[in-house]
Amino acid sequence: MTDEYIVQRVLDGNTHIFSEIVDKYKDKVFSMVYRFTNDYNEAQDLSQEVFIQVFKGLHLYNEKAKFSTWLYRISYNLSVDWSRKNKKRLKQLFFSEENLKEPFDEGSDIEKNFIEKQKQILLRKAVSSLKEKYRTVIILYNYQNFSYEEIAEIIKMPVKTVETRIYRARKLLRKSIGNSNYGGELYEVQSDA
Amino acid sequence: MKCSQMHELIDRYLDGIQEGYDMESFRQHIRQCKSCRIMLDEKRELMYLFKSDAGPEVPLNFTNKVMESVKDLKAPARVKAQKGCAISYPVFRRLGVSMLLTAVLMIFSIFIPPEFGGAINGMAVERTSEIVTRTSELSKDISKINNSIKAFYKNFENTLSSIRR
Repeated sequence: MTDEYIVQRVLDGNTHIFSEIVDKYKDKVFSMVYRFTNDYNEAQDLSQEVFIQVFKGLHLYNEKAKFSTWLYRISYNLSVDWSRKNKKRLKQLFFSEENLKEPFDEGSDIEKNFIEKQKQILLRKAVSSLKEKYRTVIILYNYQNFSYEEIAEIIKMPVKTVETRIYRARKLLRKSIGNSNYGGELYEVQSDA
Repeated sequence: MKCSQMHELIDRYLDGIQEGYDMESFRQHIRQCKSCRIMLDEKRELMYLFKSDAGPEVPLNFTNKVMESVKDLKAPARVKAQKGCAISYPVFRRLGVSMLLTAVLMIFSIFIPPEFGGAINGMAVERTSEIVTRTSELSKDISKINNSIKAFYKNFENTLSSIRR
């Protein structure tokens, strides 16, 4: 079933079929919201709110646009609104290992696992300290794996602007992480390109 | 190729975008320039950190919780055309924007400094007056058109009824 077909069915009164939309997009929406809030419980509440807003606004969905883009735009708007209302809270966040997955299989070097987790924590801190316009594109591109064009549609910016912001954001992240220089060995120099 | 060009090229290289760029010169520069090689490795490490941080899983029963929340909500319905008003939404939107502009100009004219007040105030007052007049004309036009369409529908219904008889 296509998204548009499901939308039509819901508008015809078959509300229960909305669960198909939720099942299809919950992972990506939750992941996006979590990257903006950096709080598991907040992300849970906010991502539920995303789907409630999607449900309420289904009659406004214009089939000329892709449904997924429309949905992700709602998710993005709510996430950014939350970030703006909770600026102080974001600055005081304690980044723990709780919600970090094991980067390697069991039995791998424990010390290496630990260092990788600490680097990820450092990176998350650095991302959350970026200005909103840079944080947004980094989350959508590097964490959510959207393309430049998809990001441009979601945040309603030209593709070139998205591209430029991503490059600048990465530059800022390198600078920020380089200054933190966890353990003095954050970057391991490898072989040539 | 200069080092100053390498920042963006390295990002594009790591993103897999190679079209339109001289990759042979890029690779040659990387082989010869230690600082750019270090930068490439640092950026590669950064990309790896992003990829390896998958984040937490979506909570269990997430879909059930969402459906619990929406089941009490009124189901969204398709937007139907309003009876008795055949004027399109964009016309009302233009009317609203005109009135908003009027209000903004009037507020703006209060706060401008005295040295600019004269000319700008005069222009603002004139423009405000134009907008108010135009808004009023638009309202009258809309009202006339609405009445004409109502009359047309009434005649149409009467004609249909007589045909049915």
